[in-house]
Amino acid sequence: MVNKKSLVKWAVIAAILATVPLYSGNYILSLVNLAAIAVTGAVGLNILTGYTGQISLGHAAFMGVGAYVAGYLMTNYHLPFLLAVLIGGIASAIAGIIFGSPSLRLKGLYLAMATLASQILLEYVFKNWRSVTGGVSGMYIESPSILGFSFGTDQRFYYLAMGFALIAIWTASNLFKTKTGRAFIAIRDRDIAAEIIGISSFKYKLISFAISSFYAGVAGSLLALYLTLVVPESFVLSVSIQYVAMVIIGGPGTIAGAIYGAIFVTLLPQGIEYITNILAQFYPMEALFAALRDMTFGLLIILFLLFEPKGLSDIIPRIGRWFKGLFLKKGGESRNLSHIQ
Amino acid sequence: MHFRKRKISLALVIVLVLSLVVAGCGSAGSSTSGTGGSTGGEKDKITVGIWGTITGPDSDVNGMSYGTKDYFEFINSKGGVDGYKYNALLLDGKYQMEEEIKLFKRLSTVDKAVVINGWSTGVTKALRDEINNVVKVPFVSETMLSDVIDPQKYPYIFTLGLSYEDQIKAAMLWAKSKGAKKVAFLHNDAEYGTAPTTNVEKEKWVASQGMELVANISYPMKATDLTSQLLSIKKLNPDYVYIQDSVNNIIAILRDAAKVGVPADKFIGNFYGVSPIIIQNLGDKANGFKALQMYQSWGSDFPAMKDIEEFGKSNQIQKKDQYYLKGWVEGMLINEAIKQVIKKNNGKLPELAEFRKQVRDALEGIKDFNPGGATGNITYADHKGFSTTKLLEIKNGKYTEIDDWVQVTK
Amino acid sequence: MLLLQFILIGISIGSVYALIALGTVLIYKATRVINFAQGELVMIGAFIGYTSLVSWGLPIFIALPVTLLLSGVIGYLAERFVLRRIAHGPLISVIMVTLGLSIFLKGGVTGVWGTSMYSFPKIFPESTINLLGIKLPQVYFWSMVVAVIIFVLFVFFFKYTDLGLAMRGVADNQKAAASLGVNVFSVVGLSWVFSGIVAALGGILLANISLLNINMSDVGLKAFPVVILGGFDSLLGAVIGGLVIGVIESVAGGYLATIVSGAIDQVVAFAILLIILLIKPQGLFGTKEVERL
Repeated sequence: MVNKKSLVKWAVIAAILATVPLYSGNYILSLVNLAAIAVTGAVGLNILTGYTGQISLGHAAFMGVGAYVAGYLMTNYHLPFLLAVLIGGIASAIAGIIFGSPSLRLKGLYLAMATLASQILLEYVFKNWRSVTGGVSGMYIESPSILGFSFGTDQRFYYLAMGFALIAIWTASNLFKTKTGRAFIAIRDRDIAAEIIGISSFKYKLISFAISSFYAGVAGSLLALYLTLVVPESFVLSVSIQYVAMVIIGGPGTIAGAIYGAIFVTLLPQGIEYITNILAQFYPMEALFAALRDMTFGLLIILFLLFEPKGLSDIIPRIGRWFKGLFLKKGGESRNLSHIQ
Repeated sequence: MHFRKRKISLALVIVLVLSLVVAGCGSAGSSTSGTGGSTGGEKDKITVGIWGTITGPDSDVNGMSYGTKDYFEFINSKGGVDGYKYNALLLDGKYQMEEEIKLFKRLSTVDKAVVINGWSTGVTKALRDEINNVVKVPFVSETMLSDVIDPQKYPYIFTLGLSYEDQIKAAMLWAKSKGAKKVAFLHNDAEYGTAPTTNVEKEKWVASQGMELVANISYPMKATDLTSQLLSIKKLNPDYVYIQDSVNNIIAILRDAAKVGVPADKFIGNFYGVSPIIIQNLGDKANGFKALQMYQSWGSDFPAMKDIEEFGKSNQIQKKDQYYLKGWVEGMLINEAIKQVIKKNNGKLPELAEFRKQVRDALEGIKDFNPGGATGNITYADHKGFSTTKLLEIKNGKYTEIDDWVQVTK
Repeated sequence: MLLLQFILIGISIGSVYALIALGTVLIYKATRVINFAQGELVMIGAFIGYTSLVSWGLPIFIALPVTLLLSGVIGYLAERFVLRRIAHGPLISVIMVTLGLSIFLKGGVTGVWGTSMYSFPKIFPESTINLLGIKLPQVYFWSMVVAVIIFVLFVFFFKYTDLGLAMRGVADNQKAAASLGVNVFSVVGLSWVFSGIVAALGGILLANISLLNINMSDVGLKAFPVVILGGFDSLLGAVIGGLVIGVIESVAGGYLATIVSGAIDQVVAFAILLIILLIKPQGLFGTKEVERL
């Protein structure tokens, strides 16, 4: 149902998104770009974790597979970067199928273990298959460009990162309108029951894992393009944990949740940094505040799980309503207006 | 219950809003930078950006960052450089690529740092283009990997100290002078351990010196036990074993070497191998272990140490080790370059881009600079500042200098 | 001879793995929770031990009980304020909450003790034991002894004491156990106390073997291949799994390190984990569970 009003709304959003680079500095843009890449990855993990109810502790490693494959194809075969990113995603999906298939027949716990193992094994491969990955020194890649138009600056890369993030969001939200997408949710809600009503739990878990890994591969390739470098340290276990945290904090099982979570977790270090810098003027102890930041991150994960399991995707609309409530109480005028609307 | 939940939500919301708003407005609330001349009574501050692993995997060596930061605070407490105070920002890169990238962009564009003192090898590589061609900011990296040290190709990237490769070569040249025929390398599997040893191996440098490299063994960075690797070493029986790693694993290696009966005097460590904690932890088992010396031992008698002790009276020194000393010397070099630039501009600060360029030139031009006796004199034209090193050996629970300087480069 | 030496070394380090895995299994047995913060409990135990021995200057026979008590309290607090509220939630949440806990605890340790390396006071005699031409420091022998004692104590506890039986009951079916008059919360809380104590013992032993540092908690990851191999709910499995993984690592490290580039011994354990999942997911000694609706 596209009516005039929502068309206007989307046009405004599009206009805002399109003009961000014009009025943002490099630093803000780099944050936005990293957040956009994280959104792509988190939307993917959310398909597996939020919608299918399976946990992966190897998301970063699958990002790495995509990054290395895309990087290898670009440097050695000079493939156009869009094609390389696509193949990177497919390679990650295949890796996901290989590592996921033994454990997906079992309880979710075993997938957690299997993905943890694949994280560590893949890290080893990244570091040691030197002829392909460049080992610990990594692999330099060129800035992406189409027909001579280079995306080498933060301003230009923004359109690439944002474009991919939007495509990721759009495809994921359409996925759950299909039979496959709905089968994922059935598995999450009642694993064995789903099997009884005719959904092959293994098959759909595997599909979900493959799709999720595909997104990871694309996000990993994008990160590689942004950094113009692929190194093992971009794809370590703590990054995997961060992605799970994005899904948990954002709100598992909602598209908006993955977006909020990715943005929140990406910006969290800067936020805490800023607050502690203010505090540091009164009580200067960098080490303590660095510790506080880690504690805050851990505590946020715990608090969200305990008290806000629906995450930011539930909180943000609540804040919206709360603000609305404030205005409604203050003046009759706005109520009248909302009445007319 | 429902009521309590709402309260918690509110707390979460506050945290959320704060961190988002704050991250968004980070640009607005930033400090002054080194642009323009003095305005009014107070002179402008010179912003120096520093980041290190305050928390993260290699935080045990973060004295390098604290040392630099503290040096600028020390200069500030002495009235600054030519009346200008430093605004030295120390941030936490967490040894995560993305965090470090964010910090570089922030320090270079928002805080408008004149010089940046960054951390990892990985990020130095990733930012090579941005540092040298886009932002053009003098970048003193904590890495010592030779990949990024090239004054022609990467004019803005500086490191301090012999590259890891040169350190290996220095140790091997010394071993050769002692009549060694067979040598081996032991290193962790991180970039820091692997890359330099592999580079030297690939170069076939050991063979060119008439020695044989019998093994180049890699072990996990966070290994609990290395005995089996040392059994292999014992079987191969090299004359000397070079350890490309830091204190914690050096201790593990010497501990397990004692188990299988490989004497400690066969092992040579890089400059990170000079640390009292090795002796403290291993006691007699450490006797004979050798390490390269680039800085004076912590606490011995030299002018820079006096300054550090003076600074430590009114401030807490986070790390009391070689790394801190390295950071302190980096601070001295940067300060020296900035001092020269201010002098050249008759006490005024040039505008940012020019300031950065002139500081770079000044850094490169530093010649025979004495860093308070913390090391030998430094000439920075090669962006490394060192060409020689000495060996220290642990004798009766103390690091003792042995033999003469080993000349590696030039 | 060389092989025998590798095996001996593997057993000596494997007993430390076994100790850490025992803590993980204990919590799983009593609460069906996989604790990703076990490594942090190990590290905190070691740091508390250091503080009581060095900073407070307590003699070892007082410092040890104090350390174990405080570590037990930390385990209890983790259960009381975090796990209790979520232990029956979805698996993802349980895993993630312990991961959150591990990040939180690590941050806390950074705040209190910083990131420096500490040399732990040697609490075992310096003399070594000569075996197969290897001079093994006594600490390895003691870690084996401690692992065996803990194992025997737990087996005895679960088999013959009322509390132990109650714990097993709680693990199998909390509602049924509660209806039989078992105080579910105190039983679950106690299992965390025990786990904290076992972790602290492991931490003190480990700190005596190597340096004490914030990164010590990474050893907690080693517990997972061990428990997958031995079976998540098997105490015997934890001990044997620990030793087997130790031996495999040592043999791989010894034979392959000179041939293969990279630290292969670090990943063999996880490669085995994947293989076990493929052929015998319940592990060598674990019980096969029936998925309930």
